[in-house]
Parts: sequence; structure tokens; C-alpha cells
Amino acid sequence: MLFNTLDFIIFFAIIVGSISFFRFRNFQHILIIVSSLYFLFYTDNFLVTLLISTILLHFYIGREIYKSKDPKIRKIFLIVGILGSLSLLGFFKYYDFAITQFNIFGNLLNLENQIPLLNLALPIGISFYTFQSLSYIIDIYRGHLTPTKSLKEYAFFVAFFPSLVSGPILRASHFLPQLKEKIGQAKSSERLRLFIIQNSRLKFGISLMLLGFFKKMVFADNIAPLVNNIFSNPMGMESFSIILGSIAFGIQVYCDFSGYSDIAIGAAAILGFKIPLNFNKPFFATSPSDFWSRWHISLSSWVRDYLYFPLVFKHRRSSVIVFSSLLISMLVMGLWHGASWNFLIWGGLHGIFLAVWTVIRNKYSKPVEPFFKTKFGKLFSIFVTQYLVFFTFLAFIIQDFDHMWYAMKKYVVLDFTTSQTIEIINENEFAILLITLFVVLHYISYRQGNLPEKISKLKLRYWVLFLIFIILPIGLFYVGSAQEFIYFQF
Amino acid sequence: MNYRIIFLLLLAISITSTTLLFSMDLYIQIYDPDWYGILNLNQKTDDEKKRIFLIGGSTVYSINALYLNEKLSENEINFEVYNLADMSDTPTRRLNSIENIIDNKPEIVFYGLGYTDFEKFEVKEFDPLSTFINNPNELFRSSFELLLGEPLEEYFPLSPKDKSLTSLKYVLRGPDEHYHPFMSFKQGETVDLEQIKKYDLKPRYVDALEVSNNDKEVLALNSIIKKLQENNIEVVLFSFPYNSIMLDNTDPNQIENFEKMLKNKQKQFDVNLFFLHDKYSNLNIWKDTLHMANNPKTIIFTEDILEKIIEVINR
Repeated sequence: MLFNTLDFIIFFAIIVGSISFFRFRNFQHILIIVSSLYFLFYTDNFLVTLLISTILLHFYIGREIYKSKDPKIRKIFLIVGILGSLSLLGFFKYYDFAITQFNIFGNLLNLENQIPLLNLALPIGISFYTFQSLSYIIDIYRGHLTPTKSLKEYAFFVAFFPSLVSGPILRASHFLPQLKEKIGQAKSSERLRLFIIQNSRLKFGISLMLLGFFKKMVFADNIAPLVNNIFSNPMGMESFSIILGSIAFGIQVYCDFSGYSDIAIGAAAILGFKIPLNFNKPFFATSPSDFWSRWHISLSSWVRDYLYFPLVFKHRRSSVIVFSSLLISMLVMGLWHGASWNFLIWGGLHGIFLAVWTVIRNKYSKPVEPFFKTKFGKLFSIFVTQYLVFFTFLAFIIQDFDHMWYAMKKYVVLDFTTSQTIEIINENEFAILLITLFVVLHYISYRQGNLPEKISKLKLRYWVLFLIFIILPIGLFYVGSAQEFIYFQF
Repeated sequence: MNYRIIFLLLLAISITSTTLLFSMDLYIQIYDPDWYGILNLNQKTDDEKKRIFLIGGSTVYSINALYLNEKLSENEINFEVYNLADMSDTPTRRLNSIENIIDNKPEIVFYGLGYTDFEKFEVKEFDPLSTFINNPNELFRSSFELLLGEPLEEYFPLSPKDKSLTSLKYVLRGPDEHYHPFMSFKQGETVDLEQIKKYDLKPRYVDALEVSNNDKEVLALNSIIKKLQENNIEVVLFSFPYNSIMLDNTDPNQIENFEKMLKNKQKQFDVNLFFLHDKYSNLNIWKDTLHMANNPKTIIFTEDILEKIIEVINR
């Protein structure tokens, strides 16, 4: 079910209404689990069984890891759990990609037989709930988490519909205690909480959800035609057109994904749950590592905690280990996005930037630190970081290698011609206006700190004005049909 | 739960919905009564020349009126062409403003029609249980339509964005060039048909057509032709072009029914008729599923219209 449809609004209103009306703990918890499964079934039909099997597998594996005293058996259970979910993910997401590469390799060796592709439909949200489930059993294995005794609680955590299909990726240690009556006491003996829709959360949630709809339906959907215009065939484009396209795509994907995250966080807030931020003004990042602490935070922190840290464990002083661990982590991050070479290149580029930055910072941080603390130094570092970030977006959006290579060359080696770019700007005035407006609003939200929180604390009469001010453009500039979120495909 | 917050949210939604409905209506208000008046108010027109109006949906936009007028002048033909196409135009919509066309006294009206003008969005019968199991997202839509008694497409404008931008553009800039106040006729690149297929996330297809004599669109078409003929305006009907993506997604029998209906009109009202709906279907001259790109490669459509104009004038 897409968030930006009437279907979701009615679905969500029914859940909120039922929770407010029927104040029985068990009913409320079961309602949300069943609704969450229905939410996935609505779009994905019987592929919802994959979610159910993932829930069952990890719930029991988690319990067995915790119960077992023998480190070897604990490790075996962990490996079974990891392999179980990764094999599902691998089969549905990477099988065809792997076979295609194998067939290409076979062609090079003049092998006549081709392995047929399965053309499988990618189950929606599988990358997100797989990573969420993996963190649960790994945390239990590491002794950081006590498993829940209740399958109901675990199913609630994994299937929670606001974050089910496109994140943010939740951590059990953060989420499960919120199910309890006394938040912070995660002991399984604690009573389950009764959901009460609180005023402050309701106002905050509605404000954030509307901001999310605004980002998606006004900015992302209306900037998309400009992006398609440039990248449907970038060959022959001027440097400035390519740069404009990469900026437009960066803003489109940000508004699309952070819009989704805002709706998810807002919906969860209305139901009384705090789920972590996924974006924090990434276009003001001052370094590649700063960027990854602001962009898709739930995934980058997952990769950091469960892949990068174990890789560099005990070897943090070795530049080679740090460099290669960062590269591997970012390649995995790229591959997580999709089974294609362009995502691997995208991840690889980020890995190189991160690694180079980390090595430079470790060696030269002291002499250059005063410069980067000045206003000019900060601006300079934002500019350089964003130049690199927008460069990587070319690999994200362009799948054809020749096109990608051409666009990258044009991005780096400027040709200083402008006639075509001026024409594109003239033909896409509305998208250009939105990009300008986005830059202004992004700057305001950067300066203002937590804008949704401030909006939700407005007096009711001013809050109503905000609602009108935000709903009106959504209606006026709705493109006519609900556009899928970009991260749905991951 | 504080019901004041919910009340305020609903209030904000009501206010914005009313404003939206008004703004969509504003678009029609600007468009219908004034648009044809624009000829007199804002557009420098040559009163010496006789007028040819091109009417129809957004596909008719692609006919380049400036090019036609240049060619007519070169051939010393004393006619001037005005492209009065409108987005999502159908005979019922056009009928509302036909008096404006008549008041502006054209000699000939070329009316471009497509089978999509006669598309019917029907409330489909459904089995709740099997729909729920096999296609749950259809269940919601079908139930909603059953409740309304009409398909959702009848309720909501196809693209609020297009209408909003059109109104804004008109308010800020006035009428556009090429004798059309709303659409930009600036050149745009052609997109390969394969690319269109690939990037079109939800391909447009046609469910069902209704071209019987009792259909409201057919009745409106009858009225339009009749009114124009009563005012001594010659009517030429033509089917506007579609690309292979659209044609492949439409039942050939339905297209045949559409052709038959137009041939009936030709006989019934003794009007000229020609078909272009499949003439350019495989050419790479399109910018999206429904529309041709506007560049020299696509002038073929305008040239065909020019040929027909000269043919009708010389007859």
C-alpha cells in the first residue's frame, strides 16, 4: 500500500479510530500486527508469507541463541539465522543478477548453454525487514539484547507497518521497550502498554506526515520529469545539464525517501512510538563521513555496527584494513539497494570517498582543522562534499555504462557551454522553481533545527494555517496518479 | 484523543478541498468563456483572413499553427489557422463552449477526435472474497466506486497539476504564442518508444469504449456538428494519432467500433473525415505515451493536416 494514496489515509484513519475507541491492550496489539500484515498483503499479496516465515525463523533462533550456553551452538544458530534470511533475500533479489553475470561469463568462454532467468518479483520491503531481523539475532548473540518471550511482541516489532516496506530500519533494543507499560523496562514480564493517542503526539505526527506528503507529492513527483528529461538519454548533454540533472535527482530522491520516512515516523508517533530519524539535512554535510551520518541513517548505522565495526575490529590503526573495510561496507550498502552494477559503482565511489577522507583526516586533521572551523572553510567543505555526493548520484540513476561514463566525464571536465542547459531550464521552469524553493526551505530547516517539533507546538489557530498552507499545494500540484516511492524497489 | 485536533485537520482539508475545487473550476472559467474571447482581446488577428479552427484534445496541440499559416501565406491562401485544442477535451466539454467558437466565425473547423475521448470508466462488478484474496487493492477501489455509484475517474481531475500550472501561467503571462494561451510550443526532444515504455510506470491503457448512438459523448458530438453546420461552418473530422504503445493496449474491435462511429457521422452529417490514429504509431516522434514531441521530426503530422486543409479549401 502506497502512503500517498487515499487507500492508506483510510486504512490509517480506521486503525487510529479503532485504537482510540477500543481500549483493550491485547486487541490493540493484535490489531496492529494484523493490519501490518494486511498492509503488505495489500501490495504484495502472498509474498507476505516471506515476512511471516522471517518472523518465525528469527524469533525462535533468537530464543535458542539466548538459551544456549555453548558458544559453538550459539554460533551455529546465529549462522543458521543469518543464512536463512540472507538466502531468501539473495534468491529473490540477486538470483537473476548473479545468473546474468554467470551467463555473460559463459559467453566469454564460448559456453553455449545459458541458465534461464527466473524473473522473480521482488518482495516489497524484504531488504528492510531482513536487516531488521538480522540485527535482532546478532544483538542477542553479542549479549546486547534479551530476546522477547512473546511471538506477538516480536511480530509487532518486525511487521510494524509504518516502517515495514521502506524503513527506517528499527532496532529491537530501541523499539521493544516501547511496547511495555513502563518504557525502558524491557523485561518480558512487564505488561504490554495500552495505546492512547496523545494530543502532542497527534499534532506532531500529523505535522510530520503532512511534511512528508509535501516532500513527496510536491517536490519529488514534480522534479521527476526534469530528471527523466536529462537522464533518459544523457548522451550529447552539456556539462551544466548533467550537473543540473544530478542536483535535481539528488533532491528528488531525498524528498522521495525522506518524505516516506517522515510519513512513517509521523504515523508511528501518532500510535505512540518513537522511531529513529532517517535523514538529517544531508546536503549540509561537511565530509563524506558526515554525509553518511545524515543520509539514510538507519541503514548506514546498521552497516557500521554489524559490518564495518566487526571488519576493523582490533585493526583500527591499520590504514589498509580501515580503507578496505570501508570499501567493502559501502559495496554491500550499494548492493543492498539493488542487484545491478550501477549500485555497486555507487557504493564503491562512496566507499573510496569515505576511505580517502578517513585516511586524510587521520593524517592531516591537526594542521587543517582551524581552516575548516572558519565560515569559509565550512562552506568550502560543504561544497566539496556535495560535489562528490552529487557525482555519485550519476551512478545511482544511470544504468547504461556508456551513458554513465559520458555523464561522469561531463560532470568532472566542464565544457562551459550553456545553450542546451538554458533550453532545459526554460522547458522545466516549474521543476527549477521547486529546486530553488527546496534549497531555501532546506536552509531554513537547517537553521531552525527541529522544524516539525516547532510546528507541532504552534497554537491551534496557527497550526490550522500551517495545515492549509501545506495541504493546498499538495492538492494543486498533485501529478494525477500516485507515484511509487523510489525506495519501494529496494 | 483531542477531537479538536481532528476537527481542525478535517476543517483544513475541507477548506483546501473547496479551494481546490474552486481553482479547478477557475481554470474552466478562465478557459471556456474567455479563451475564445482572447482572440479578440489579446491576440492580434488578421481580420482580412478567413479562419480555420483546430479543436480537439491535447494531441491536437502538436499541430503547429504557425507553420500552417506560413505555408498558407506562401501559397497565397487567404486563411489563418488557430489551434484551439484543450487538454482532456471531449465532445461534452467542447459542447459547453461551442457558442464561443461560432461567435468567432470560423469558415472551417477541423475536429480531432480520439478513441480515448469515448473511453468509459465503469463500475465493475466484483466478487469480494476472490478480489480480497487475489487483488486486495482492487477491493478497496471497487467498494468505494460501488458506494459512489460512479467510477473514481469521474470525480477527480486527471491532473490537478496541469490545470493549476495552466491557470497560473495564464494569470502571470497571458496567452501563449502560436495562438494558444496555455501550452508551450517550445521544441522538445523525441523520446524513443522503448524508453517511453520503460519510464512510463503506469502505462495508459483503455478499458472500454462507448460509441453507441445513445452515448453522451456521441450525442454531444452530434450537437457540435449540427450547431456548426447551422452556422454555415464546414466541419472536418479526423482521428488524431496514437503510438503503438497505446494501440497495442487497446482491443482492435474497440478501435474498429470507433472508426465505424466516425464513418456514421460522416454519412449522417455529410462531413469530411480522415483517419490518422495509426498512421505514425511506430515512428519515433513521441514524447510520452499520448503526445508527440514538438520538433522538426514531428512536422509530418502538421504537414498532413496542411494537405487536408488545402484539399478542403480547394474543393
